[in-house]
Amino acid sequence: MNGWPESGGCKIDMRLQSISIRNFRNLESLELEFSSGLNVIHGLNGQGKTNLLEAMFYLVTGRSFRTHQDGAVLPLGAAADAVAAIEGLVIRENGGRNRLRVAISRQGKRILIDEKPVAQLAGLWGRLRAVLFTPDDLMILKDGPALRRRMIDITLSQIDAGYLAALQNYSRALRQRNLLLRDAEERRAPRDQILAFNAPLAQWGAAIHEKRRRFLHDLGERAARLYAGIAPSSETLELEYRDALHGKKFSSPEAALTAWRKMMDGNIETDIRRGQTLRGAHREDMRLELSGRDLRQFGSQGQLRTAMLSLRLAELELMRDWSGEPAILMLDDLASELDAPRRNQLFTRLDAGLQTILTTIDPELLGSRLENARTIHLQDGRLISTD
Amino acid sequence: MEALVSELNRLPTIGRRSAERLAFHLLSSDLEDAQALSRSILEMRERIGFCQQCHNIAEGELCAICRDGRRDPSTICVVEDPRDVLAFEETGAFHGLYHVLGGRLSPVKGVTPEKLHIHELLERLKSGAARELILATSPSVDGDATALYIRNLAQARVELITRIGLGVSVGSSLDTTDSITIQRSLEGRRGMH
Ligand SMILES: [Zn+2]
Repeated sequence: MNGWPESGGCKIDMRLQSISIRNFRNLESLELEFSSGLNVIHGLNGQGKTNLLEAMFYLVTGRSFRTHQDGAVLPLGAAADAVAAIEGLVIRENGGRNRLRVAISRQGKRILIDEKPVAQLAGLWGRLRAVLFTPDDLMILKDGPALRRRMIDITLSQIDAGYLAALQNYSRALRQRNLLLRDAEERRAPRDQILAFNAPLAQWGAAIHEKRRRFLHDLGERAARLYAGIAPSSETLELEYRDALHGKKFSSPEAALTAWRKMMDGNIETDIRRGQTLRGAHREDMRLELSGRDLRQFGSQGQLRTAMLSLRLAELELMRDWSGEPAILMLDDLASELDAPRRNQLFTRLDAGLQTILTTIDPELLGSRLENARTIHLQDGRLISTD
Repeated sequence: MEALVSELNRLPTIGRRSAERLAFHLLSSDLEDAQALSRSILEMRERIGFCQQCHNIAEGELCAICRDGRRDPSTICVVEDPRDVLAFEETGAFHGLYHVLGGRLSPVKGVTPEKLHIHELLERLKSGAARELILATSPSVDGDATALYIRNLAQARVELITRIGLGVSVGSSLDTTDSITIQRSLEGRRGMH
């Protein structure tokens, strides 16, 4: 089911022990230690709280959650050879320790694990597992399918190495096929080459499909249960996978693969006319319904917020159960993300053993929970105090 | 000196620093050593070319494998690169002939079928000597597509087409795969459908 080396049946603890950041946006030089429970990063707006979470999430995915361009994280006016560096120490209860390092320059990105360079981004995934919860998350429910696919991909790739490999192979095959389609004049399209790339496209599309199906089925059940607990009413949350083959069921992996091949082969003429691959894993979506009504169209702001909170909590649970160790919760801007009732719902549902790193303007929002928390005060990208 | 450094710098994996180090090393070494090196580079270029039948590296028109009368012409193993031929030869388990494509299909990189020795392979099959074609392109997206492309064109000209799926790791190529793995996958090769 999953190929990460640390995965096993038993539950072990994993946490981010410390982080060291250099030249990352307004964070010139920052060293932080975290507790294994609640960590509260506070400060006024624009002091670097979100930058800090962005840097932290680089250790999870090797990418920014705010920009596609790595160079954008270098400080404004940085020298041509400037290097933004993030280094984190991940500790596991079974004694495993990993020093993860991501260094970004205008020339590119370097990833090191325990001082050894990692050639592929995939080598980093699964070392530090986390669920990120930000104020922009509501867009996942309101916006187009790309953000929903991204949410699935980021979570599932952290717990299933095979999924990440399938995604990478699929997107390579898609790039090749789309290039053949784009440059093709209809009569002289290289149909024999397009047909040849249909095979890997279908192979990896079918693999992605099977993994998404199982993931979304499990995620949907957990989210429905959580939603019912947070908003006790007659409303039921349902998650539906809108897949490329319109929900068709298959008796075997071979049958699914054949169906994917037929879809790709059958679409060649349409795809040539339109100059791109119109159907496949890159067009899939998930749909959320509340008692049978499309949440995206009909959901109130409150229903959307509760649904998003349920989804993120469901991801935390699922990652813990599938990988055998708890993921870290990273929460950006507590106040704007969650109102008081939902904040309480979140905190009562978090495991005692779950490491949480959150940012807030107002630490008092946490009430008595602040007593057992580690607090970190940021101002102008610098650490003012910690306790 | 500068001319030599910039020539060395053009070689793969040789950066500016390494090029300078090599140049200084050659400067301080014996004259005979430097002469031997330049002579062997020239001889290599003059004597070694590509086999006209299989496109492996060759001294003369045909490579040593194509010239060897003991090899079995009924099986042709299709590989991407001459280094793959070396990897197969090291196992000693394959007794047929080869066909080197010179790469694998990649529209993004501009590698079209015309840039590979696919047409020559189809011409070669016309004689009817080959009964089995083993497609041993890399187990990658592009390698799989290349194998399928060849299968579709060659299936009318040869009885059996098999595929070697080497390794499970994506992007592993034959020249990093050990002999035992190659031998096992040769024995376990399956028909392509
Ligand atoms: Zn030859």
